[in-house]
Amino acid sequence: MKLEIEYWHRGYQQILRDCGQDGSVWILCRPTVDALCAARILSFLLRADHIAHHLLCCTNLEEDLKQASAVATCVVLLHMGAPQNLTKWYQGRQIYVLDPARPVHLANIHANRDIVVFWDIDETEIPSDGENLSGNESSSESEDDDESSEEDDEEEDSSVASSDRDEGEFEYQDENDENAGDPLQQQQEENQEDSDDDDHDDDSSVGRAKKPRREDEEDETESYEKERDTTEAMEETEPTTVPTAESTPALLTPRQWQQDRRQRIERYYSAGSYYGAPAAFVAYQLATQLRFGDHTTLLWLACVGVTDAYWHGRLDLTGYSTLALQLRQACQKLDADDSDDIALRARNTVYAEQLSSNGATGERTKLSLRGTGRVFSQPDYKFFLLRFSSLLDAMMYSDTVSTQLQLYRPAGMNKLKELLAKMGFPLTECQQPYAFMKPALRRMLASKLQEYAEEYGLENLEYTSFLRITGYQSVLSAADAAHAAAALLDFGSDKDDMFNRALDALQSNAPPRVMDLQNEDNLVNGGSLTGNPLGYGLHLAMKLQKKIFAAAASLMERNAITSLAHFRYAYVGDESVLAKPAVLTRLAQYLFQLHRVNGKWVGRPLILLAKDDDFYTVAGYEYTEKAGDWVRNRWGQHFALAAQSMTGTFSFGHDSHVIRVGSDDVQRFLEQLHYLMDSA
Amino acid sequence: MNTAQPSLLLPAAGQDGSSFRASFSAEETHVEVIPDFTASPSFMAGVPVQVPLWKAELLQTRSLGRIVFPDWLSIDKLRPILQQEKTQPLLTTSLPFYYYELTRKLTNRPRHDDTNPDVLRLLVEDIFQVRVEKLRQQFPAYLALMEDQDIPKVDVPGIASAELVLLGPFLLQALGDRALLLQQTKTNKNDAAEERGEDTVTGEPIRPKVPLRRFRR
Repeated sequence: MKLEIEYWHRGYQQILRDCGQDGSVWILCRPTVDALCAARILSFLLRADHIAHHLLCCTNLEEDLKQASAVATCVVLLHMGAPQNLTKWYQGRQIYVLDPARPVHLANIHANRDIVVFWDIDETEIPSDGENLSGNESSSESEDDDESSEEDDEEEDSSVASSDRDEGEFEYQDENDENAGDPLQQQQEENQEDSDDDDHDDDSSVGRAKKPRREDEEDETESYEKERDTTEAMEETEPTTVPTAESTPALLTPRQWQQDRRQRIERYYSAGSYYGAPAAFVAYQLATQLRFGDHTTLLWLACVGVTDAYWHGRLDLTGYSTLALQLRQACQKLDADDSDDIALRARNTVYAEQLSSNGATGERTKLSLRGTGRVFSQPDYKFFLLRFSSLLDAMMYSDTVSTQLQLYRPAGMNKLKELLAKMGFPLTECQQPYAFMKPALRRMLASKLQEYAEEYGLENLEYTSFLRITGYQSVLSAADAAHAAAALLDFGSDKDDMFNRALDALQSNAPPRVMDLQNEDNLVNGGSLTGNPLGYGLHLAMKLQKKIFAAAASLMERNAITSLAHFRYAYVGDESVLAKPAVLTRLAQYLFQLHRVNGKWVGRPLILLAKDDDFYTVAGYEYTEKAGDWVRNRWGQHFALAAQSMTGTFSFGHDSHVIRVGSDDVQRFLEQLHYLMDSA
Repeated sequence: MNTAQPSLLLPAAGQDGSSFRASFSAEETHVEVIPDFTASPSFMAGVPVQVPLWKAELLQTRSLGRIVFPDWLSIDKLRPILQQEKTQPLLTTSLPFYYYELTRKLTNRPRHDDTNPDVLRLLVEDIFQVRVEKLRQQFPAYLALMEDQDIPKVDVPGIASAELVLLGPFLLQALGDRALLLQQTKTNKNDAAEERGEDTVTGEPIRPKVPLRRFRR
């Protein structure tokens, strides 16, 4: 069921009621920073209410759900599960889903109360409950998800391929059983229903020759409708569609109505995947609806989660602005913004003389007090980890600057140095760690950038960012924290170990030291994994950014991006870190932006292929006119179609636009994709 | 070091668990809490109620209420007390026994009102240092008071738990050693006097039998 935003707290209270004294919650968390932040927020809430809970990093949803269903009182899924049919994998207890991925599988919405999807505001039309929505008749995407959902460590071999086919046949048989006497089944996976369903549906009220599943579905439908009428503790939500066909049945024949409905359902699934509000933001809203609105730690985690979603392409510019505005208002409510209120600033500065004597004459000694973790919002530059590296490095590895000035070319580097020289910044100073740069230069940075950056096309260098005071007056930005945690997750080989490190890195009370990024080899100095995970994460983040840029540069130099009629594709290098979907997303965005500035690419989508042991991670990305826009990603369906129409080893992960293909089948897969898109 | 003799090494601060015990005992003090929930008979949302500190801390951790600082824990009250401590020879009696521990516990969390908890911490720390220094300076006077007693005791009005924790072990150890030395001297003198048939002598300079450690300059 959909849980609307006003009623999120009731979902949480239901968790409390279910768990009672001895129940336990299992939180299954995808290894992304957004999910980690949401996990920390949820864990805080559950701890305050004395509920036992387990936090698990989950790469194989089906297995983990099966394991959990035996033990847990209820399960919370963070950043996964919404597009998959959860009713198939988890019976009995309740699942709560905080997942920004859309479209949500209709079975999850129209199931009974066992599956609760936390729903943010979304104007998409959702087909209502009714026939043709049984858990068996799932979308093409989710069928593939059901069949094989491993992502990282498992070995894939041809047995999986054959099981794919077996399951496909099995599905075929099921549907065959369901519609007895109807030998014609759809071969195309785009259609959700059987082509001859209408005959049966017409008989549905009369003939009970239905198979048990269909009956259950109808029972469910009836009971769901009954439940809708009674008032319960949890608000039921009405389906959001208002199909005119239903309200005026006299105008359409039943067959026409069926077709219309099928089309609506098809449209719902085939419009492409998109994202709602990040899980961390949802968790923070939930916390404010409960009694935890005053905790700056939770607000900080929400900021980090939102920033991470923006960086990995799950939020467009408008989305980020909207959420950032709300978070900024929350910041100001909690700790009034210093920069606006001089009186408040005066109140917060303390002089030693005030403590010892009443009069303050002559010079006063200002005391530096702990910042107590205050979060505030400030426009910040889009430079990469500015506070922890040098100005030159930060600008060189910033997406905006690097793409605008085309820094992969030597001419681009010269332009950057020219810009710095014009601003009056000596190169040696720019190569110093930013914290050690001359204070005069740092103060000048803002005004000089405003003056000179426009000449070089660097217009939007600032964005609303969130900063947290850690320790005594040292400051950490949400982007830095998100990068550090993401790098820890991306570089990890042992998923549980790195998951825990990234969780630690989000704890944010220990300020990472400035020298962390300078000494690659010297990890003893505060950049060690055990000592300071945030520092180590920053070090890895810089390394990762350099790798991404190097990969992009090598692709450009070698002209390795092949253009076909319907899409471009490129084989990205050999490193295992580049095979992570999150990293590929950033690389794709970087390439898109480079070519937008170049003017060389006009419209086609991009597929990136990265080798990962015996597999290739294939990720598809849509082209947008401007950086920061968002277009619904239809690669999920194309991949699924191609995978089904050929033999080979395939597996989907959590994202629909990412598929793992066996190395032998990759080339054929691409050809098949192209062929299908040609014929479509 | 001759280990047969009682050790002259002082226990390091905190290693005897006394500060932890003090902190634990401090949690019995009652503070005022404004709960956010209603659970009859004692808790009504928005109505201040006196509860022990341990309960108040639990409520605060679970975001079920907030603690109201006691009256003495404010800049306006603490500054004059600091002045008083600096000028008067006696310890002030207007602070509660567990003032130091209470301040530490209450000022740990960020507060969303006007009080700045760090300033209060600084003030209380200053007060504590001044009081400890005063006690150290007055220590010889206290010793003189205790000289003639069998069980040395002295009444220090206004002393608080934190000072006791800091100076207590030292005091006990020092007085114990002093008593031991005195006793040994008396025994030696009496032995010597008995051998010579004289009365027991007191008041002579004490020559300890245990070799004292010589400190290098």
